[in-house]
Amino acid sequence: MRKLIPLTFAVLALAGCGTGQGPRVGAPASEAGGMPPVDAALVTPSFGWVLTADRLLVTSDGGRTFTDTKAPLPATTVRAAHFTDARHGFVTASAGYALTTARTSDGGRTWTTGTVNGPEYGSLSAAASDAEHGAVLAQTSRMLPSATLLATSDGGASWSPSPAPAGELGMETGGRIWVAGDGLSSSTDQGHHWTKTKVGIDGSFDTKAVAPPTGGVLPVTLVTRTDQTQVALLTSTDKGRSWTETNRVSVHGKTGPGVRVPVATAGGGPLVVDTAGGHAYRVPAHRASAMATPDLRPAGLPEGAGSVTFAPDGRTGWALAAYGRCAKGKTGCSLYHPLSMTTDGGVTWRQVRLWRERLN
Amino acid sequence: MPRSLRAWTAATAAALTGMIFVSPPPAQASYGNSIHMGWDACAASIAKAQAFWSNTPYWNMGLYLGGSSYGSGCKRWSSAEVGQLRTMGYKFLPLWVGPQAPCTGFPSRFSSSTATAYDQGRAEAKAVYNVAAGLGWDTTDAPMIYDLEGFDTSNGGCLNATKSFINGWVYQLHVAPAQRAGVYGSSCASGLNSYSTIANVPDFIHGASWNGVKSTSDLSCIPAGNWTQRQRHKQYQGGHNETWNGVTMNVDSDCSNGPVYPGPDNLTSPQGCE
Repeated sequence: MRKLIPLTFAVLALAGCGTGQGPRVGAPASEAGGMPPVDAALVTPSFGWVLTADRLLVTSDGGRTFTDTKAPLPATTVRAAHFTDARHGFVTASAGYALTTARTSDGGRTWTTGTVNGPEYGSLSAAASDAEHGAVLAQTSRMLPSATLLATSDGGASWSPSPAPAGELGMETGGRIWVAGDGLSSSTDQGHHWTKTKVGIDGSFDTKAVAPPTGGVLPVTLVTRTDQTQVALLTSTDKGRSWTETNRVSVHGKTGPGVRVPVATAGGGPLVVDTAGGHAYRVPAHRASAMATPDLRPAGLPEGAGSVTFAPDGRTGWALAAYGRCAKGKTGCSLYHPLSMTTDGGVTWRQVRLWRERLN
Repeated sequence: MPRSLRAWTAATAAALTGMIFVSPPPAQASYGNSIHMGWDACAASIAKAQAFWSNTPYWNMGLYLGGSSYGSGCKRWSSAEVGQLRTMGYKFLPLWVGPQAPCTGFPSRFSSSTATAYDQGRAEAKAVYNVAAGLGWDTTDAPMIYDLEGFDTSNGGCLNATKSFINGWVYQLHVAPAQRAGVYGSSCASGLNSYSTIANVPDFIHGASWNGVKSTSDLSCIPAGNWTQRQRHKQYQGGHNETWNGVTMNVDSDCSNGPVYPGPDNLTSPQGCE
């Protein structure tokens, strides 16, 4: 799971380095100001981060208060972040022809920045596997089936670009890199060579969206020919060279192509978080002959969950969602971005922060 | 049959028979100006498009008509489906994703020769015209947008070929009965402003500037004085998930101050796009 893999990066050394320091300020756990979040993750039971188009917020109390780290990056929605513990992390942003990366080893109090010149990217994904190995997957266009992987094997002192498949990035301990899109590819040499992995899905379907493996399970979101969304869980018996479907759950939410229903590792197994809200399924990786309904019907879980992460304790987690409402017809519309927290493995959730993006 | 030849053939046939050639009146004007929000996605079903129409802020939809670089896994809308979308009320930003700049990694690229690229631009314009006509659209003045993904604009040869390609695209779309020629791309990395000085300037631009700001007047690398007369659409956020009416889709967010298909103008209920 990309946000739970331990990482300790050395200080990043890139061209044009500089440092910045942000003051500590509190924020109420109510409607928040500023640009809406693009991603968030809980790293430990108390430490987490929220990335917006213009800020990187961190919390050290589970989300009761947040600090604007003043990460020195250009304002853009094309951003990605990764923290491996409460101190070490990096955030990257693409604006114009520069990819800016900022790294911290003190929880965001100070930053070291650098830039890599290249094309203007439309989406970024970040991951790391250990103190030395990390990567950013940068894509210029979703119309293009390829991307650029910027990999480091020296703690960020240098980044080497190489062609890569397009998709969502994941890394595991040992350095294997996953890129999941329509299919699944992996690299064990920092992206120099890619192997397409066999993903065996039962039956027919309209579209599929593969997510990087998490907790030994490969989640695949399927849209069937009858427009129903299902999540297939695949496991591997050959160390990830091939994956076979071992369980599947139908969810209430409807999803379009490219949408991955969130699956996180919680309570010792995979937790499928329904985009419909109010439903989450503790689905064993393998089918049991007499299995009770896996729906936890969690209280307080909002619809539109897109990013769900759990701390290593498996009980404390965050869900970041995005759903829209209009007051009347096409007027008074807003996108709501609630950040919710659970401390019981996903059975109950409470909102810790809400961004309201007024659209008109 | 090339469009110009087809038009000539029809006119000649009418003259020879002594009849007055009159096109059937379109049910709706072929374009109108919009100041509203929209979305585009690689694919969606009718039901999902409906979920993003009712009680949402969206009036417009980026409609991909095809092209050699259009994703194989993406939706090809049938004429009947396009009709259903129109019945819902959607106005379209018609997009064509053909060959890309020669210095990109796309499998389908146009030539680095400016002369060849110009001809290829014309050919793509004919291709999109044929698709639009095949959908039964009133193509006169209909907006057609070339999806030109980002490339290395510091590569002079690549930029010149791209300018020539767009020159051909616009030239051909302006052949009577003319369409409105647009270009989509990163407002910086697709070199959009470079096309303000070519012989056949695009009628409008659809610039991607993913700063989260809806206003079409705020487009990086585009001077305020260019494309000012309702000649801009803006993609202000790239692929992200939104849930409306129980349906989650991965969409780009657009805001318009320019032409959409079909008309008429809809300049009421502003949404901050101007």
